[in-house]
Amino acid sequence: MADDVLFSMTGIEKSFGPVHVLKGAKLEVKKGEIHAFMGENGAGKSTLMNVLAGLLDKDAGKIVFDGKEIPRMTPKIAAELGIGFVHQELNLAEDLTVAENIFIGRLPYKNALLGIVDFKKLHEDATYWLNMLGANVKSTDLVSSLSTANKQLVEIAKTLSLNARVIIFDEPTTSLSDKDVEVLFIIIRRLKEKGFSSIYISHRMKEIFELGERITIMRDGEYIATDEVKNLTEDQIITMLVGREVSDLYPKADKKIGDISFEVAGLSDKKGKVRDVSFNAKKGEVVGFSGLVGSGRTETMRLLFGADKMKSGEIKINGTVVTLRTPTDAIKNGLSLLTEDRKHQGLALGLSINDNINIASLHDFVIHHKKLRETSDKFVKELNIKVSDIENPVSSLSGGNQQKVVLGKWLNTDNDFYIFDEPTKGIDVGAKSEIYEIISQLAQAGKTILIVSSEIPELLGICDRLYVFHEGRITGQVNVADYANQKEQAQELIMKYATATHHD
Amino acid sequence: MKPSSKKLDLRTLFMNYSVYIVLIVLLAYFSIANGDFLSTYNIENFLQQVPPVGILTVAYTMILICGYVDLSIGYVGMAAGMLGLYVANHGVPAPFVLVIVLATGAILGTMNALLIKKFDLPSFILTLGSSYVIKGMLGFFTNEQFIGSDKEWYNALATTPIIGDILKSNALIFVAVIVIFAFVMKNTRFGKYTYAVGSNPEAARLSGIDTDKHVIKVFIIEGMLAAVAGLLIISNLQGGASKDANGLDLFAMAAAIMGGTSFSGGIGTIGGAVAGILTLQVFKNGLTLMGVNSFLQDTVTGLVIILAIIVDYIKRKTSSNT
Repeated sequence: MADDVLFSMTGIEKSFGPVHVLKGAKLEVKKGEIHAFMGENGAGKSTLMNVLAGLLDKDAGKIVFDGKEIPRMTPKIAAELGIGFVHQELNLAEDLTVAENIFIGRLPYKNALLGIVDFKKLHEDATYWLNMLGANVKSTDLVSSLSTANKQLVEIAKTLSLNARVIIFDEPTTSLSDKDVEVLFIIIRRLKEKGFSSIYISHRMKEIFELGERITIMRDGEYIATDEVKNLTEDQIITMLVGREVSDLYPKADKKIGDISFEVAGLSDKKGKVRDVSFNAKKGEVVGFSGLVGSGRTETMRLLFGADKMKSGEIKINGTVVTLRTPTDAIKNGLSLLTEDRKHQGLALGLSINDNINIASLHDFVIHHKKLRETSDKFVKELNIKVSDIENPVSSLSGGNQQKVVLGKWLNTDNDFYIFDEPTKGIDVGAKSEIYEIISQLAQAGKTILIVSSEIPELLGICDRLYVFHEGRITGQVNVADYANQKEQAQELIMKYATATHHD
Repeated sequence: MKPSSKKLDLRTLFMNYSVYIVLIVLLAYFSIANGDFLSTYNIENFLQQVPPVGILTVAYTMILICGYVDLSIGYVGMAAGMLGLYVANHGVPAPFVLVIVLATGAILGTMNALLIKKFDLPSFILTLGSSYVIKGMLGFFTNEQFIGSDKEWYNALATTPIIGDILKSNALIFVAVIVIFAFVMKNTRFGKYTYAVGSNPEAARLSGIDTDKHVIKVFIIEGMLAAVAGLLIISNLQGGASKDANGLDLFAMAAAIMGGTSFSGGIGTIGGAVAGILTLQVFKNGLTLMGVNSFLQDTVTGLVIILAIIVDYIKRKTSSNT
């Protein structure tokens, strides 16, 4: 039985100063296994992985690799043992070729003294690893010309070429389209067939069930459970992750849907990414936008918010035609946009939590610091943002809490229209349910809400109505209430609209 | 556990206030090491030299916080000041001269900002270009010759005694600029927006800040501050030559960075920047009194600047680790 274990970590302890991050953490991975690894943000997953990769030193505990105890893991030992890491953010030199990226830092030389590269051998070696992955990429391609999925593939090939035996995938699908995710899964399965082990970290339940064989769950730095994925239900996993029962991830509240408050007709952009889009939304209504990545949903929202220039189209707010040329115009007309990319578009990371919450609501020329702090404190409390001091930079917060700061910034404006672009991307179940709750409360208060999301179950859970995008156009509309007990059919219909295989 | 956390606090304290600590140490050292350092003559001299470059430092700090650089700031100031000198010498009344000087600074600042925003240019390169343009024009019209001031009132702008001979109008204007801009950057919407634009321009724009307009405003105010500095330099010397601005821009930038302003925007304070310029000036003054060769002074000043940047680097590294 123990023969098929590749490595085990038991009783791992780690503290950063007074903060106890790992409290007896445990992980065991078998040879040729795809091991799902879950935990909420801040549960200690990354810390444990960094201990495994030798990037952090453990305070106590035992690591046994191939039956041999490793008293002190270092990056060098980890590399020799074959522990590979595919990070969430890609680390490639865009202007170099695929082969150069795979062998960067250890290029084969014809003449080592003069540093003359043996390109023939370089490309042969690179092709060997690309073939093993079944990759549809040439070793001579420039990395900048590749899709995100193929870039990830280059990362995987690089890891493999370092003689990896176990590969850690840290949320590899966050920036991938559905199709690219399929490709990645095929590759991970192929790796398994060849005897490689994978540790798969993700917040997406669907992927865990599709890919994982066994699963280990962590919470607050502690080991919770390891089990076969097929023995567990989604609810059981959520309960273990959150530590309490989440009765319903999606809140259902009594609310009144009012008159049409937001109307868009014939909206197009200059780049052809948005073509003749028309839709409407009512007071108190949550309207979802589904579709494949790149189908024009985000671009549409950015046009509405004045973030990009529109070519044609008419926007009516409460029956009156408005011109929204800049975000400043949009905000004056009561719009808020929570962008998908928090770090680059949502937050001024270097500024304090307090400043970020107030930046869109500074009405007076001279600032009343006390008033601003009171406002921030109010939202920190209301949104349950975990902070030690609101004057700390917002970069010191975890992803979920950063997202809540963005939310606080817009709730602070008390606008009537809220556009959410992938509001739960990369955040854990606990924070997700809190964000759904806030969306529901906004709808109850009579606000109009537009939500772009790539997770169909999420849209079906929180929206009243859905529009589906395909190649810049709206190809279908789904009234969620019509499918109350037929979520499967709804999903299928949405996919058909999204791939334009269904025509009304 | 306890003592280590206390030690850490001392360390962060030192890191956060390093420039103030260095300033105090320098003041103490030169006071003891050289008898002339605290002499009335030296203090008077010091307070006459600091204000113009100090005002440039305040302006530069604001530009850096907003996420831009302005290599032309010294020449913008000199161009405004020299034009003021020229029209004053030709009998234009004082209030008009002041308006012309400030307007010149504002117009040059606007031109820099418009070109940067319109063509999406890096400010470093654009202002490198405009600094050559202005420098060339100044040289062409003045032949790089010293032009004396004929008007008493022009000379009095910087040199009117306020308290004895030690504190003159020059220093008073500097103090006013510090107070106003420390307040503006900390307590006004304009200040907050400047930090937000410097920290993340796209997030600022999507938060409803008209970033283009804001950047133009910052450059206009910066140009006007530079004009004031130029005016004071010329008034102090009872005339000026275009080359009086040489090196001031980089010196002001170095002072701002020494004072904790981040080169990549979003971080910095006026107080820190003032401490930065005082430190560099005290250093220069002290070394002169001690008879250190003026070329070596440059070398030592350069080393101090490099050291300041290293301290800043360590500071950022430790703060990102916690």
